[in-house]
Amino acid sequence: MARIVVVTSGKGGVGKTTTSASFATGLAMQGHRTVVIDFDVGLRNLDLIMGCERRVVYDLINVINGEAALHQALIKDKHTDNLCVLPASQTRDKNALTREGIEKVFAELSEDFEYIVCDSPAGIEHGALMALYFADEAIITTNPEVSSVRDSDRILGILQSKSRRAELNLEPVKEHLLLTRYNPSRVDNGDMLTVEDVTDILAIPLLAVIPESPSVLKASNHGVPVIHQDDSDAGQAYRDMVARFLGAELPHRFTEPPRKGFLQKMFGSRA
Amino acid sequence: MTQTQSNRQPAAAFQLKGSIYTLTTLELHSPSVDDLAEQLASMADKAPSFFQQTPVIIALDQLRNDRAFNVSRAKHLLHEAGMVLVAIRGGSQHQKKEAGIANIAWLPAQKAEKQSNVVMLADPDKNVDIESIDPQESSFPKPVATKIITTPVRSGQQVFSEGDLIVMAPVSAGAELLAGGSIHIYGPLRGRALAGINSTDSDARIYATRFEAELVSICGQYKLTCQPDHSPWSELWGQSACVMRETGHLRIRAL
Ligand SMILES: Nc1ncnc2c1ncn2[C@@H]1O[C@H](COP(=O)(O)OP(=O)(O)OP(=O)(O)O)[C@@H](O)[C@H]1O
Ligand SMILES: [Mg+2]
Repeated sequence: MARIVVVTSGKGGVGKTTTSASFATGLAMQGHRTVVIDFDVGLRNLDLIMGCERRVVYDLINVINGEAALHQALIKDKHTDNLCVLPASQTRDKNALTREGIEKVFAELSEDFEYIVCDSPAGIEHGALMALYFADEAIITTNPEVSSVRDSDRILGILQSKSRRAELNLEPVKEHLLLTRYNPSRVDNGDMLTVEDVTDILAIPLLAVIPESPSVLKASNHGVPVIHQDDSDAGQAYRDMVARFLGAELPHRFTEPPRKGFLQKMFGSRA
Repeated sequence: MTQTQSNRQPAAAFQLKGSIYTLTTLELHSPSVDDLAEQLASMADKAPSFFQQTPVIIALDQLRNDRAFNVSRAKHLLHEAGMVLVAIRGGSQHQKKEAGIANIAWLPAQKAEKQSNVVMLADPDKNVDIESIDPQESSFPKPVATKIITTPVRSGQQVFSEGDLIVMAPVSAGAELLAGGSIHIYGPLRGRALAGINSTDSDARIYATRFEAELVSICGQYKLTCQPDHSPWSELWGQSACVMRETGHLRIRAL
């Protein structure tokens, strides 16, 4: 049986899709057969971030409705071996996502893949509940601000009560904290919560801190997940995240503001 | 038509009900009303509005010579301090008559024996025969079940316990704990905790090893605690603390 990992947050725009793309890519780069599924029916953009939007013919809902075979809807990633994308429909009604339908698709995917990564829509409505229902592990994607932390807390409560594992009284969903869009300078100014503040409130293990980085936007404009960017801080942070997820013990990076050079000190850093 | 009218039962204007209240009791150690006045004045200085309209009882049980105590003057004195003297407890026949003249109630002296949670065995040599205890037929009243929670209580979640509630994990902002009895939290309390919810008078308390609650309530009396002020509630913020109900007010104490 494949391991099902949901990338979720409650709050919108925190970096779930960015994370799903890089995390799934990272698992595949480590040799694990991985599929990443867009659950954001109506607002799909995982295919854009993965750079495969022109190759979308069928989607998740088509497969659930029996209008296409799974292999027709799966898109093989151009940049990475072992990686496939299952896009969401841009047009259809969200209620087409049914528990039975998803279960069937997951069962079939389990024959070919080791990891199923689910990119959840924002909110705590139907789509988000469907994305997390079958999860074995959850990447709780959080920004260092109070509203995002509160929504993550809410989602953790839902994972504990409304997931399949909770309903069947199985071992609980394994929770990982991913703190992203972290800007150490703004944290130092007191504009944002610190890593300690967030881990203290959510009380789950910290998987990684992803810094706020211009390379993320650049990467998504090129349709190449930022983890491919060796020289980018966010890319390196996502590599660390994948390595830790697979069991490596690495120190956390990118939690301190960059030290200012001599000239910057003299002329200020606003240039 | 007249018949129906005469047959109709008049709706009851009231119903007699027995209720139990906790009342503030001033237990006198001196019959001198002047001594009483002095102590009241110093209390009123420290907490001017503390006793507004608080019903109180004066207990004379501890006094040797209660004849020297003047009921009417004491009533007047308490009135000036904002309290309402509703009864005197104990004292001689003379005091009972005085109470009647002052229009307040008289209650019999309380029994001398002190209540205690630790009860001594009548015959120390004769312990209870353990083997003879049958849990099914025990004469002890059945305790209300205690609920124990070991995972975090998250925003949007609610936990209810008929009896006491013990949480050995954080309680998030936006989470709610409800208990018929007391609530014990071994971790931060950031959400709402409501203890003693089925009663208007209980000894229920709320304990937390890190007190950062949004709201606490005991027996329906509540306090929002997020506004910073200079009270003990702010000083104990983030500390290990206990909330209890005393003379109708919620109080917080360091643990
Ligand atoms: N580490 C980062 N640094 C800078 N910008 C980032 C970072 N992560 C995400 N972003 C930006 O934040 C925006 C939202 O990201 P993304 O689409 O991944 O969030 P989401 O949680 O999937 O949103 P939604 O809830 O709408 O699905 C995007 O513009 C993205 O480029
Ligand atoms: Mg998204």
